[in-house]
Amino acid sequence: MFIAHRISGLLILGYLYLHLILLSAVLLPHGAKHFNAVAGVVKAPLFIGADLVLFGIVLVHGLNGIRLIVADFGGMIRSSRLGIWLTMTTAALLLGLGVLVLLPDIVR
Amino acid sequence: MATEHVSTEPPVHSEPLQPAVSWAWVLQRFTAILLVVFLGGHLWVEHFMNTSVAVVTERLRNGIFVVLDVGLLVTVVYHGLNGLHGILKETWDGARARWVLYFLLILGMFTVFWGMDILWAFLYHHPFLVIG
Amino acid sequence: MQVTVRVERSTGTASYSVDTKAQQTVLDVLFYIQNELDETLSFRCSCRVGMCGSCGMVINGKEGLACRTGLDRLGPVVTLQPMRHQGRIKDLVVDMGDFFSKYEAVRPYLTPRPEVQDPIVASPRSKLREAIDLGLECISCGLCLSACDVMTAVPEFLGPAALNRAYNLIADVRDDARDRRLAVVGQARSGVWQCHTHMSCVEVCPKNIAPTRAIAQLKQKLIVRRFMGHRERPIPKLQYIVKEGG
Repeated sequence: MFIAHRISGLLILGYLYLHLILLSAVLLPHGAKHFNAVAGVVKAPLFIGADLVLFGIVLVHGLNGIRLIVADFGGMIRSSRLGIWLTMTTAALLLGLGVLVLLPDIVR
Repeated sequence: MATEHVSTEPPVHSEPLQPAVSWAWVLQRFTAILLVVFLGGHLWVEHFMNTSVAVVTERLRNGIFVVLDVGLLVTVVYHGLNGLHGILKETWDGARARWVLYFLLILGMFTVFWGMDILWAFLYHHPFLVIG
Repeated sequence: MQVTVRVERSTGTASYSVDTKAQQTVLDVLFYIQNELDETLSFRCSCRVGMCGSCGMVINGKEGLACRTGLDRLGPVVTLQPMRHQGRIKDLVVDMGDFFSKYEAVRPYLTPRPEVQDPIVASPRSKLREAIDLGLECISCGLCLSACDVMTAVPEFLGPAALNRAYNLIADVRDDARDRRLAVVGQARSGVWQCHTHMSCVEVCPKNIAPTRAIAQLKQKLIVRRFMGHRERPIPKLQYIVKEGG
């Protein structure tokens, strides 16, 4: 889980820069005018699928992070396996919720 | 993973006089909690609200969204780069770690500036730095 | 039951086939190998009942005391390795020098406050005994240091056992070396801030100690101390303690 936390953290950091590069690439040369057109492109099913993968990674990192902060206050230290199980189940459920919300956009 | 050599010298632990708090550690937890709020808000806003330029611009005129966006930008850059620094300094200690720290500090400041520039572009329809 | 015991020895991996009986432990099997199959096999043990902390090793990839690990749970192939992150002397015998020098670094002994005259009697229910929990039970077997994943990258890390010991003493009102100990555990490279909160130490501890909890408490103490300053803790009077405990 520790390795998963680090890898997901690095992936999210990588995405942050990708996100900034994408926004700049659209905005800087053309101003805001072209933004709406590109915003349409990123609504394609492929991009939404990628978004969901990213959402899953964020959930794993975020929920595990919350578990670690709880441990810093003395919680769930003897029951870390239960804690991992709980956080990852929550992550799966929230990801499922995300899929449901975005499903209309994918099968459109 | 077992090493074959027999260690002869016990490691020397020099004792500083004052108990020390790692502020990087404290801030990492603090920004983590902030990020749950900021990132949750960001995802909610960007998904459930319209994201056309006019709407984003209008939103940014509202102070709360500026706080949300700039707050997210600053915390995410600190949390991400400090996390990276934590990983790197475990393997690189000493002089090289200091250079890594300087590099990440500059990268962080640059990233915050870059992100602000993008927000600026939304507000005034041209970036602050590069005139399109 | 026929069990294949693979031992990672100094000379390479050796494989022994052993016919085991019910309720035998890994230590029993090691004795059998040494007596009947290969007298050159080296391992360390003393009490055989899990109270001396000598026979720590990595059993099927996880740290455990050989004398407290039954074979029933291990399956037909048992792999034995020496503890990790410690120099090896021979076969399953590791050099505990690093472990104990880290233990020494936190001054693992009580330094009485000079004003303490009478012996202080603190009832187990007294708040004076800031929940040390099972922390006093440590038998310094070194399993936690072997399981600690911080050690892979930061060999200077003081490790769970030493930090747990430091917390026990820092939480003790009779102790006078609090500041020095806090200074040692708060160091950037070797101190509590390196802990990954992975809780491997909690998982392997044969005495059910939770060093991660002690480390979390130490972090809190360091932070609170920075904001609130150091408050001199009054030495409680004997009657007061008896009253509170009763």
